[in-house]
Parts: sequence; C-alpha cells; structure tokens
Amino acid sequence: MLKIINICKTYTINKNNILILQNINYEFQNSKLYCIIGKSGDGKTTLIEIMGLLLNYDNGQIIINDKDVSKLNENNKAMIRNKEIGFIFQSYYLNPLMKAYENVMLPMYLDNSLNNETRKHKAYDLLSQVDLKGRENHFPKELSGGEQQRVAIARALANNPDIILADEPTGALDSENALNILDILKNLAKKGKCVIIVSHDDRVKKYADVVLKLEDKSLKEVTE
Amino acid sequence: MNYFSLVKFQLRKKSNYIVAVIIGLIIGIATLVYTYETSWKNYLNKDVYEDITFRNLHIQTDNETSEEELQKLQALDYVSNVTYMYEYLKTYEIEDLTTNAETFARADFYTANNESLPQIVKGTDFPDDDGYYMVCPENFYSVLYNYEDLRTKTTSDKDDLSYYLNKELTLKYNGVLYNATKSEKYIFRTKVKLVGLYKNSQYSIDETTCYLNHNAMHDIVLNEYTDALNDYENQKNNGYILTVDSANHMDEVKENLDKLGYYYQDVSYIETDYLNNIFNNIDVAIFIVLILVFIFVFFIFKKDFKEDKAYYELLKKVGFNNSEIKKVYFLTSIIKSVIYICFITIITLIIFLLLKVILNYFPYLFVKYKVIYDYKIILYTLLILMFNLIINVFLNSRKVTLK
Repeated sequence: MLKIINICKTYTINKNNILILQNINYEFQNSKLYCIIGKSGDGKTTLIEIMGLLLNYDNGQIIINDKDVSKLNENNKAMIRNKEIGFIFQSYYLNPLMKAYENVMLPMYLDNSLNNETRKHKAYDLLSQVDLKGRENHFPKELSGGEQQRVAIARALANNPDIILADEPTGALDSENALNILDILKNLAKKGKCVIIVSHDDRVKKYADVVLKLEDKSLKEVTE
Repeated sequence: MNYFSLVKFQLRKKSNYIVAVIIGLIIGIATLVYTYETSWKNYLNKDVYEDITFRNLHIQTDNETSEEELQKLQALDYVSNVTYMYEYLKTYEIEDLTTNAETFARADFYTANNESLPQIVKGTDFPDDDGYYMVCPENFYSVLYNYEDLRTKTTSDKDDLSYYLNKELTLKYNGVLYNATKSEKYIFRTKVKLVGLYKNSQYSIDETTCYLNHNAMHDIVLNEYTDALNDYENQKNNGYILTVDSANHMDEVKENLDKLGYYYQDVSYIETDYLNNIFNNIDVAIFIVLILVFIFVFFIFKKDFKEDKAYYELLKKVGFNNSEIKKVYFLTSIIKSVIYICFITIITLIIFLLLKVILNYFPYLFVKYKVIYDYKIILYTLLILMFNLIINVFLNSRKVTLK
C-alpha cells in the first residue's frame, strides 16, 4: 500500500518558482492497477518520482506499507526503493554491457544474504515468468523493444516489491508488444502488487482498475 | 557487497580497448624516440665527450716551456696530465705484432700518468719508477692501413694482448733524420713493458690508442732527435698539452687558464649545438605529446562518464545509495585506467621487442652504441592517468548522484 498526503512540489527555474503539485492526496491499494493520466507538463513523472522516493518534495507525507518514509535519510530511502518498489521506464534503462539476466540481478546485489549463484537462478526464474526463457544470455541490443521492456519488468520484480511504478512503459512499443506488457502488469496486480502506471496511452486506461487524472495540480479519480 | 561484480561489465566495452591501443601506440612510439635520444646522449656523454681527444687543450706560450711551468699547470684543479706538445702524441709500430712486411702493427701513443689513464681492466697502471711502461686497449686492432679499417673489422680480428701482459714489446720508429739519410742508424727500437689493458669506449677511435708513461715517451722522443738536437730544442717553443679529467670540467679549467692569462685551443672540438638542438626539439615534441595525451584522456574520461551516467541513475532507481554509487563510479574509473596502463605497457614492450629483433639483424642501424631502454615516458603516462583519474573523480563524484 502506498499513501501520499498533501504532497506539494515547486520547481525553481531561472529564479521563478513554478508550482507543479499542490496538496496531492491519495491512497493506492495492493492488488490494483492504477493509471495516472494528464497533459504533458502537468507533473505525472514528478509525482511518480516523488512516490518512488527519487525526488524530494516541499511538503507532505508518504506512507509505504504503514511506514512513514517522509523523514528518512537518503540511505534509508534507497533501501526502501530497493526492497519495496520496482521501477519500469519508457526507455527500459537496461545496461547495454550487461546480459539480460545480469540486468535483472542488479537490484539483488544489495542483498548480501544471496550469493551470485542464487541471484542468477532467481534472475533466470524471473525472465522465465515474463516469457523470456532462452534469452537470458542476450544483450539488450539483441532483444526487441518488447523483450527489453520485459527484462525491465523482471528487474523491477527482482526483490519481490509490493509496489511497481511504471512511467510510460508502453511509450516506445508497438501495439502487440504494448498489450503484452500491459497483460504482464495486469497479472502482477492480480497477484497482489500495487501497480501504478503513468501514461498517455489510452490502452492503459482500459487495463486499469482505477484511472486518476492529474490536472490543475491535483489528483482526481476519473469516473466513466 | 562485491563492487567488482557491478563494474566488471566495463571490460566488455570495446571503446576502452580502442582508446587504450591508440594511447599505447602513441606512448610506445614516444618511448622509442626518447630511448633513441637517451641512448645517443649516453653515448655522447660517456664515450664521445669523455674521449681523451676532446679533453685536451693546447696551451701556447710566448716563452720556452719549462718543467716548472709544467708542474704549475699540472697542479690546477681538474687537470689530470700535462705534457710538452712535442711529447704528447706519437705513432709507432709495435714490432712484435707486425705479421708481414706489407702491413704494420701501428698504434697511437699518448703520454699519460696514472691519473689520466682510462679504466684498467687487466694488469696494473704505471709503476712508480723510471722504467718504460705502456697501457693498451683490451680490444686492439693491430694491423690497419687507416681508420676506415676499424669500421669493417670484426671482433674476431682483434688482438688479444693478454698474452703480452707484463712482457716487453718493441716499439719501432724512425728518427727525424731517417727520411733525409735513409740510414739504418736512424731506425730505433725501444723495449716497453705492457703493464695494463684498459676498457675500450664505444666510440671507435681508441682501438689503436695506447698510453706511454712520461719517462718512456721522453726518452723515445729524444731518440728520434738523435743528431738533430737543434730541432729538438726548437720543439720546446710549442707549448703544452693539458688533459682535463672529465668533459664536464672543461669550462672550469678554461676559466682558470683565462685567469692565469694563458692562450689555449681545443686540440679537437666536436660541434654539440646541432645535436643539443635536436635533443631539445625531441624533448619539446615529447612534452607536447604528453600534454595532448593528457587532454585526450581527460576528454575520454568525461565522455565515458556521460555514457555511464544512465547506469548510475539506474543504480539509484533500483536502490543504491549515493555512497555506493560513488564507489561504483570510482572503481569503474580505476578499471579503465588499469586497462590503459596494461595496453600501454604491453604495446611499448612489443615495440621494443621488435627493435631488439631488428638490431639483431641490423646491428649497425643505430651506429655502434649501446641502446639504453628508457621507460620514463611510461611512468609519466602513469602519472597522467592517475592525475586524470583524480581530477575526474573530483569533478564528477557529485554529478554521479545528480539527475
């Protein structure tokens, strides 16, 4: 579960203060797929980065699995990101010098209780879950866009986080691959994860359990 | 956490090796050029400039020479030997080494004392008595028509004078009246004991250079002027030859002579400005190359950092904290530097291996001097890489964790 309370965020550009988010409140539940829509520049990426503890904010609170993470220092926030949150991006963010399974292993390096053999085994397992069995030893350049995004999803699941944050996960994909990815994300939500997607893509809205609109610096549910 | 697992992927980056090869070739060639310069400098400083030929000054006087004045000059700082001009250098036949009537075992004889003798490797220097003694080179080419022969002679043609050590050899020479009279009366022989063999220099003019003690040279010259005493007396106006102990002290000795009011000339002079200009130009060129390498490496590090930035951002997103990310960055930079260092060293060694092979087949390609392999450039490059590493880590360590 992820709860945001009175989140405010201002950017300062050329000594001008630009208010992006104002008193954003919402409670995201497990086992649901959320889609946040909004116009370009309305602050969707800002919001998801704040929720993912990647970006500081001016005011407010963030509660993750009943823990208030607002006042944590950078190291503890990093730990929360590693254990509780998985990220998926439009541009996949795979390291081109690492094979698919090595990319998936990346978040696991922070868990000292695992040895490399165990990490590798887990990575292979995760890749198999996203239908990439047999592709573990390929570099990103040898994979299609859809396959790369699936590797990114496997990586996001490396430490079995409860929360998945996805920023335009289908933005760089064709229809068929986009639907594949959305299927995977939907399944994750059904399995108990809290999946939050930021997207312009209308197809995402159809998959979402809840659609939220970020407009005029506030977040509101969109009813049909 | 095993940070090496997070950075070992850098070893897969082809551009690391391309850059390393480029830098390796540049530094390898620069090291080769520097080695050539160092070898030449060493050859010039140790052999050429130190050759007795270039350490002698001819002191001309208005008055007749005298033993008193000779001793006064001998007492000057850095002066190893002073002789009368007419007893300075003579060419005689060593009769025991002459094998047939058409060729003569000829040697140049300088007058010397124990201070001015070169390094003795077998036997001893001159005994301290009135006997006749000589010192010859370890590698001695006895049968020569002229100095050109030296360049074509091989080491198997040299005489091994060890056999004659502590034996008397006969020096055969003509008196000054021989040409006019053709009389046997003016053909002289003097027995001189070979007491020592000295280490040859690399500069190929000393393979027939021998040294006689003052006593021997004086009496031999006196013999030459048998029945020509007037001519002998006239020689006494020809001044002195002063030998300086080292080429490094030539300027100081000249200064002293200036203060004492002597007029002098270098017996032999080697033009060094031209060579020094070449060496200076090489040094400047190498310095510029190192600066360019520094700049090149700096921008490579900067470019690599930009390319790797996405990886560091990814690490942040998956839960690495700032300190951990900085360590990954630092280790990545070190690995790159190690790759460069390995390639520079390997390529330079390959270039020098090739040089050794070439010199084996073409030994006279670089003249007859010792190649001094100077790896200073590699050390400078190591410093450049370390310095670049430090600068880049300092400049980028904050940017590593910024978005």
